[in-house]
Amino acid sequence: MEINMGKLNVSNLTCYRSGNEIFKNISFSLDDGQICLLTGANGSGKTTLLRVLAGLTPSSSGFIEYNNLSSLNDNFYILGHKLGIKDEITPYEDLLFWSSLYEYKNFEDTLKRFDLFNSKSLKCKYLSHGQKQRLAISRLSISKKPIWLLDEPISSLDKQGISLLKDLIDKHIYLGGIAIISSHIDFLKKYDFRIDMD
Amino acid sequence: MKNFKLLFLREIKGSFGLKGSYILSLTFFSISIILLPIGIGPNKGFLSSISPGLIWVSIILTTLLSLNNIFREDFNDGTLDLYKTGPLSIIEICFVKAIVHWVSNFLPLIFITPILSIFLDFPSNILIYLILSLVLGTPSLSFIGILGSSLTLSLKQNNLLIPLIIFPLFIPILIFGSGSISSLIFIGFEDIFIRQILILSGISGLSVALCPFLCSYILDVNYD
Repeated sequence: MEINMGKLNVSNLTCYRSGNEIFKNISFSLDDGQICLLTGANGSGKTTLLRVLAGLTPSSSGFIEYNNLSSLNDNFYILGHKLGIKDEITPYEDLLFWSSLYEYKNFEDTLKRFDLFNSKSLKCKYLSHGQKQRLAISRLSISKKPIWLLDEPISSLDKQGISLLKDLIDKHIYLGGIAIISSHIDFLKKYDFRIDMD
Repeated sequence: MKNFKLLFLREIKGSFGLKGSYILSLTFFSISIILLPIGIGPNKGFLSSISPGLIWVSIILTTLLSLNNIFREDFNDGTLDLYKTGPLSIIEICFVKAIVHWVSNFLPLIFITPILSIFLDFPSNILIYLILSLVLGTPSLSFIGILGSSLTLSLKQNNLLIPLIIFPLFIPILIFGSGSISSLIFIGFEDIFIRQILILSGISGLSVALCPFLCSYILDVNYD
């Protein structure tokens, strides 16, 4: 997997919704191979910040640059609360679709690694929430995006799932990627930057 | 083109799945066409003369049932987030969504129209022209429909809003769609039929060319 290394600059990012301030003047810089941990109480704006970074929610002011370019959509992969999994398709079909889009060849190995190979022909509506979360996380490994935005990624995951996710993040960081992770539980041993949204 | 094909196959499979709106469209259209002659009465000449209008009005009313679902499910389950941040362009997504809506909602209606036209005493010698008008006119309904669906995406109660926004845009399609076939019934195969069919094709062509771009812009600014 190749990742284009670069630097992410976020400056004075502010977001209002229906006149209410969600967050104000958030600034940080992350170099390649760095992890940023987002913490804060429920409703403090962690999800909104991640969606603003991904370009899914407009910011009120401020700017986001990656490698000194403001066009960012191609660089982010967001794993949010909504997993984007269709009930009527199987994990195999889902991963085949996304791996074809991202031109990733070893998706069957990914299914095995995330312990989904035995359920590959089962419709997603029959999977447990933890298995669905694993499927969503497995897509991270096939995307070639340099910046991962993970919103509460360990919710519904068991110990083995958390360990797989940690390995995936470690590999991504080792290859020069950037990860911004929001979490209530401190499951990361180390991180380079922390933003407290409270 | 490869990504376009991949998305099309995934979407078409989803549309013809158990939750597909095509079943509702097919049922609503069939019931409308079967009930209309019962309500109007057994005057065969009268029924035959108004049948093009009845078929086109039923088609348009059926369209309104499925428009809400074009982007709604993908928006609710997070798939649209993945599409927007993935390797596909939003224009491609809009284009595929409109084509899949047409294939899954209108193609079954067009196939069943020859059978249902018997209930309306539709002249069988011009049935092929009715099918032609539907094939040329209904793509515009899907492509204009994606505009309504994207405009109301961020609203939770949007069932009333889509018809209000989209209905005026469907009126020219209704006029030229039913008008072309009515002119065949009342005047015969004349220039007026060809002109109306050409206008109908023009509206469809314009919708196919413009609506995906407008829809992608709407999804950019109205997505939260």
